[in-house]
Amino acid sequence: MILHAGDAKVTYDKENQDVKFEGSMRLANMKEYDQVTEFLKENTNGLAGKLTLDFTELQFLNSSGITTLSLFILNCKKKGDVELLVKGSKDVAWQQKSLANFKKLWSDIHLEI
Amino acid sequence: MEETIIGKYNIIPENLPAEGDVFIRLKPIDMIAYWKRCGMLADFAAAFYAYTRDEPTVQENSISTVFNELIENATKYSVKRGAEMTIHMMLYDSVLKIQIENITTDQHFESFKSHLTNLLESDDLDTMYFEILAEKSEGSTDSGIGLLLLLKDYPLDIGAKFTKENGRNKVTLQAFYRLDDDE
Repeated sequence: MILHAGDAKVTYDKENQDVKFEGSMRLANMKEYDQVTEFLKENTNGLAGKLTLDFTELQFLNSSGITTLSLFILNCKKKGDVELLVKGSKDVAWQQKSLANFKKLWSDIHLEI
Repeated sequence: MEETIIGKYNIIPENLPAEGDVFIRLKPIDMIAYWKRCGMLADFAAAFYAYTRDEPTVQENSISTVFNELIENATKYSVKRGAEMTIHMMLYDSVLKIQIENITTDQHFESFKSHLTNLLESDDLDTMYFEILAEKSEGSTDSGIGLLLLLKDYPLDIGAKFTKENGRNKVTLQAFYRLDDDE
């Protein structure tokens, strides 16, 4: 399953339970991020086991995007069905600086940078 | 005229000569109409300043991220028509000053003043981040965490001047990005 959101592509690989973010995601506001929230919900609803959020190829994410993904992570924490692995790249500055915030939201997250 | 200054404002003397002095004037409506222009300007600013640094790729991403948040904020909360927005960037050795000036509505003028005061007075931005997120629901239209994330995650000082004059509300925001602390 693929979602094109602005200059970003979000791909869900069902077999590996992996969501890959690529490009630059700088949508105008939270409302515009609803499409990303819906995409994540539709594809991960009822899922159990490991779920990977792979940001290594995402060059930019604005604060509305960080908020959207933070709310998704808080929702996963609340449901408690999945084990989250968040992958980032040390070569992409925003990931080095801001992905750690996700682990602060839910200490059980495995963060790989 | 009524003026309020919050945070670290004009911390570099105005008469100090700067390198890479870039001034841009634009209309908020042109940014709102084509949102991608915020990112395009951010990428331009980042490329302009980062390529002289020791780690241009890493710094380009950081500068673009910081600039993008500032320009997105100013665009969202500007009076859309009949007003201009200006961006003034100056490099002082290893400190990049980004100044954005815009005209806002009465309501945003006061709420932004209060939000910025809270941010700059907080000694625990992590907790504030969690609290703001806890108040959000999926129907929220505004994240409200842009400046918070910048202050929390980047080597940055921020200050602002709020000016009420002739019925207009002018916000002059200054960000001082310490590039050496980011390498």
